[in-house]
Amino acid sequence: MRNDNQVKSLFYDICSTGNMESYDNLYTLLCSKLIHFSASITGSFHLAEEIVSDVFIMIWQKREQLMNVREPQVYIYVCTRNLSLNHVSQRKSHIDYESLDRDALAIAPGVEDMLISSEVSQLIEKSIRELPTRCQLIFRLVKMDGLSYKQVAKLLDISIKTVDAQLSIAIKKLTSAIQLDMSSDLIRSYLHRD
Amino acid sequence: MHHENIERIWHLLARKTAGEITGEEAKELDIILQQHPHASFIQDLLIHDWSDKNKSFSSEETATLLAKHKRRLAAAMDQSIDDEKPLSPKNVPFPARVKSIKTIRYWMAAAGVLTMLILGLRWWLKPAEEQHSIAMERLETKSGSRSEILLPDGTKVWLNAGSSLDYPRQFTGNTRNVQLIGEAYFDVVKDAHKPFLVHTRAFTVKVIGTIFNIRAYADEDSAVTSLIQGAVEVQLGKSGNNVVKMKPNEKLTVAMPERPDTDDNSTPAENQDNIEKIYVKRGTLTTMKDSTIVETAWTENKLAFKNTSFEKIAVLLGKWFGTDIRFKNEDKKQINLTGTFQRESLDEVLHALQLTGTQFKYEKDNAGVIWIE
Repeated sequence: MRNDNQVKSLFYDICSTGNMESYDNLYTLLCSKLIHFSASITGSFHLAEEIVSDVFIMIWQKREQLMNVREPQVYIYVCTRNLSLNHVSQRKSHIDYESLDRDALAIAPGVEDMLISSEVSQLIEKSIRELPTRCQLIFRLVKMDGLSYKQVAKLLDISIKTVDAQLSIAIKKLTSAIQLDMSSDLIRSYLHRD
Repeated sequence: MHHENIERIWHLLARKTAGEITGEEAKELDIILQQHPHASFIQDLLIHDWSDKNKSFSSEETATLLAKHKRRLAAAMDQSIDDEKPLSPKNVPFPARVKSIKTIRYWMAAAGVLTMLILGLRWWLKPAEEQHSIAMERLETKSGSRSEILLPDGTKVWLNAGSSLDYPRQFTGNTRNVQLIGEAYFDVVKDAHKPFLVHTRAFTVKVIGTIFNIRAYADEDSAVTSLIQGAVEVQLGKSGNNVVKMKPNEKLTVAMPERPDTDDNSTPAENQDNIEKIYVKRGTLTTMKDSTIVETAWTENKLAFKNTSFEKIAVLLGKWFGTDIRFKNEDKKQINLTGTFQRESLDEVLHALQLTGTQFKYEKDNAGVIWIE
């Protein structure tokens, strides 16, 4: 689910009034997503936790100067990306997709409320882990983090078209993974669950 | 199965997942999905929330992370206050000073990165217009498509076909106000100090935090509030002085007021009547055999009706599929029907209704209007 408006509203509230409650809410809203994003670059959840905390400390300290930021969500992700890259190597300014940590990016449909079996969920997870890492990252940023095409494009410095194409590839792959392995009975029982 | 359809579907599903789909594309997707049940399954998978497989944070863990972060923030703030003081051996003990020099360096580096970032971002994002005055946003759905949105306060709203919701980019002031035309399902985040108000032409619904559905289409003769959970207050009349309090599982039907500026054939004398007459009916929600609640079935992508006149069903179907459905015979309008549909096309729905023994025929004319006789 998109939370862009919520991020904006909290962010500007922090900048304009220094509201600590909004600050806590913003951290709570984004910390898991940002920690996973950072951990995919640094390979360490422990480090990622500190990096995200540093990003938020910086936001608090500089809040009055951040009023002019047009896209708070992109801004926060870019800060997280840069601080994470700093930890990996001082020189790199771009994400090295080859060395992204797939574990930190791994996602799958929840089994509890979806009425799908854990086997199907695992198949999907496996198919996503088999995607090229950049594609996996894009899929995660859209599906899990709720970033828009435009935001992903800005964050990764690629075109919106590329985001669109990569996401299509991800969906095609995960579909073929379950179509190949799922018995038609399973689909039927799912479709007629009502 | 058309090959190009299959290729097209990944693209449309990608756009749907990302919330980037346009009304046209959504229609196209619906049509293709009718032909490919597999793809419907994928769509359902993609629409649902997914979870992290490697490390997922429970709300307790998130609270712990926040507490930890706040301690680090407090330490950083103390440090920066210390840094501004002249360094004297008295107030800066040796170990702390070493630490603070490290921190200064760190922060200088961070500030450098940040300055570049801000400059970069400013250039990149272009100068701000107006950031966050009480700018209003509008979410609109065409007939035949539905949408959902998270409002700035975290309230979730599902918007049914042919509807619009106006809401502010930020809820400032003592109340949270939105304006609705059409049908929407609200899951309002509780805030006792800031009541949530939904304004429609027929009434205003005031809540603290609760789940309810409002159907208030401008082209229908009545508007309905259905309460699922919690409590709501429906304010009626021009002044909103007439207040009806509702309990869960209740619905309130209110006659849609005449539009003040329409040239209907109603006599002026009646319209100028100073005494406001409001027609109100209290009832309970309708539940189907499978416990689907008729009033909110649409939020689960289901179309449900129970003992409803064909005339009303035609309106429902029209909005649902984005088609105009009209009657050639008046008497067909009064037939009462029951049914639940989910993935069926309009053709399939009408055919199913025929199979229940209802005597009617339907055909599409050149303008795309479906005529029932």
